[in-house]
Amino acid sequence: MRKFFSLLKLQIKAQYGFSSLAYYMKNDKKAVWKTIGIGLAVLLGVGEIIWLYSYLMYQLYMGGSTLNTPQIVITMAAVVTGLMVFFFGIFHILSALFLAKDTEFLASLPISQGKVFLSKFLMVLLAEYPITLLLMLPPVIIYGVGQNAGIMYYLLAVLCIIMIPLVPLVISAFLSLLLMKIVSRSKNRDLITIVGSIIFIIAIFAGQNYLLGRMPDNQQDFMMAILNSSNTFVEFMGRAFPPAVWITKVLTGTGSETILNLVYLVLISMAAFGIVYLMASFIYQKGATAQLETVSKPGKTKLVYKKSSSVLTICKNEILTLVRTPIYALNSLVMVFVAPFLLTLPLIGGSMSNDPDLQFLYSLIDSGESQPWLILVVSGIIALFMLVNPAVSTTFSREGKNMWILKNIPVKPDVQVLGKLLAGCLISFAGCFLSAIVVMFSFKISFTSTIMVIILSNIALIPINAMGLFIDLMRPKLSWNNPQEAIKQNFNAVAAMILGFVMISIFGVVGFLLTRLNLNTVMLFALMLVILLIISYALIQLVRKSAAKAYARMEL
Amino acid sequence: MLNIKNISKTYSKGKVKAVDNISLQVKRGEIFGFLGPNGAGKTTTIKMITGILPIDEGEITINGFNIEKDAINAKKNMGFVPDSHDVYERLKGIEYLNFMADVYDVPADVRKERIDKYLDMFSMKEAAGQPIKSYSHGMKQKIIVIGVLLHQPPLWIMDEPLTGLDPKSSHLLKEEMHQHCSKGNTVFFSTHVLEVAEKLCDRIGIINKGKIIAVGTMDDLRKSQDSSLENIFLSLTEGSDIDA
Repeated sequence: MRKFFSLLKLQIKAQYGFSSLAYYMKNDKKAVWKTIGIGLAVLLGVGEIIWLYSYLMYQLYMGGSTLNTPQIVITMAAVVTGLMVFFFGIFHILSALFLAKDTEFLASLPISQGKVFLSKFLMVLLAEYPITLLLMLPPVIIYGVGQNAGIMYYLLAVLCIIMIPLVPLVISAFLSLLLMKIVSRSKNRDLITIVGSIIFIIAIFAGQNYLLGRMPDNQQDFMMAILNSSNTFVEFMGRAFPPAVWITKVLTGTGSETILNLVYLVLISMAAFGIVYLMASFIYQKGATAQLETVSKPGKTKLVYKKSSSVLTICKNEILTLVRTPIYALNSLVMVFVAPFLLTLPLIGGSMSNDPDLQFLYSLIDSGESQPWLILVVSGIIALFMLVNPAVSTTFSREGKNMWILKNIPVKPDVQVLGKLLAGCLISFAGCFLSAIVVMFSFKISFTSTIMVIILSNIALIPINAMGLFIDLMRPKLSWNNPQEAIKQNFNAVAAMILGFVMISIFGVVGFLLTRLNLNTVMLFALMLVILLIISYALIQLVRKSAAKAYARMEL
Repeated sequence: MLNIKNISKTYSKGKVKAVDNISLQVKRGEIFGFLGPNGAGKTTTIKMITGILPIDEGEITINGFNIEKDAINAKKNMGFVPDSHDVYERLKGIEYLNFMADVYDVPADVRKERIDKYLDMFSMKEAAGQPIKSYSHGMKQKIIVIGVLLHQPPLWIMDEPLTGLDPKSSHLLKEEMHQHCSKGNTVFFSTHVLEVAEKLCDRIGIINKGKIIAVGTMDDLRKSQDSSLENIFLSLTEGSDIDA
């Protein structure tokens, strides 16, 4: 076990940069304060979202109390946390276990593959705790204060919070191990990794939608059962993530119910982990090292000699590198496919299509009067989905050690940034285009409106992408050991997402004010387009003007 | 061709002076070898020449173009091979070469001819269609070297260019360096191998602790020391690691 702890310690130090932080604490305090400042600014941005989440949880607690089920707030929070960990866990597990650069180094060490797997799994688990804490603490405090809970409740809550990410991560690891087993046998490994992961993620959404959307056959009896027993509603909501039910009962039950559910939670989590650990002991290393092998096609390949302009060359280079690096492709392209899928849910059925609000939205969309604001709302929703795309906000960080090439080539930095921005906008365009086409069918909007939505959502994303690019240009994370650090452990991606959210909110307010002018659809579209184009131009100019100085500051 | 005037560079917020007020002139048609122990300031100097690092003090001109004030023209007049072999691994060799040809404005009509010439020369024709990720260390070095040869720059700057090359490729590169200089162009390179510097270079510069401690032809250096380059190097650098 000494070897295992030594490996774990090394990975924690390398991933979180504790050693270099200690060095900078001594030698460059200014850099440390700068990092702390940026961290606080991001927390401030996240704080707004936490406040909103806490408010929603409080409303849920109050609503639940009137139905004599205040504990529903714990169930819901645990379900949301479990699903979030599951969703992000797939990326984290794939990145850490299979796509990391240290695979070769670790494979050469005299440590069993099971222990390597365990250390990596624990690293991912550790990384899931911030989001688990952010999602679980507000409802735990709301319920605890509301019910005057004692110290035992809070101690059990800590234990439950520790246990929550375990089951979803174990399932993610199980699916990843299976996927990599398939990948290790195939020739086109990168492509299968990317496509397979996206299919898994879509399958997860589809499964949850199906589970949550299935109502009991006799709804009258079900409503009576909810009124008679406070656990019926909890068990109904917890179908998507059964540990949520056990956690609720551990925290809100009494005596034997608490103990029994605690035993369930711990035993089943440990058993699930045990099975995956055993499986990993046999198949992990083969899947991981398969990623190191690159298939060379024997014989002569036809070489293409094509000339492009500087902007297009940079753009092409950016896109080729991104789509051929699984970890970059997964993070940057996932929303291009997941967003249109989420928008097809009303067609497929399930929980979303039963939603009364959505039914109301259908009827509004059907009525011609609602047309003018419709394009703004749909464009805004699509743009919001495309925010979850770190392609632009990590573009310089991803260059890492290759940044010497961009600094040395005779292409002005202000031209290079245009190439990178174009690449990001093309990815956004793919997502907006697919989403808008899906919306045209699932929400039954007209072809003309669809075209307007495609144009408007894409133009709205230009200034947002430019802002993301600006953030990464100002402070790129060029020093990393694993490509996942450039994209997953990069403040710039989070900061760009928060700023993007703020920008879309502002565009939303502007759009709302324009609708008050009683313009027709075309006029509203044209006016909004002009505003967005002006903002885009201003931000592109800002990025271009800052590029040369920012390049000079990047020391390699 | 290359004019370095009183340049200095300081790292870690002014605590470490990596390059301390150095000046050098490298003439047209000469091969200039740049030697120094580990951490002497060679790579920092080369990074400033190539525009990768900003210069704290002084100035550098390449073929008359200032690397900071007229960076694009200065860069067009040089080709740089770094010591690291960090390159876009997910691209195919040919995609990387097309990228380099595009950014260095290699005309479409000569592009194919030049790419084919250098791919043949370094026996990389078959590998060019494969991802760079699948290349060996030496093959990565070759593709980077080919990339900078495409626009036939008046000045080649190479940071330890022979490391990782097989004997044949190493010989070919040295031949190419000679041919390049015979056309009135210039080569500035650092090397690990003192014998190579001794045989290949018209002039040699030795840097230690950020300062140039000797510059001249082998004959000039021998005049003061009457010895082999290895002994001259060791005596000048006070027995530091034998390394360029």
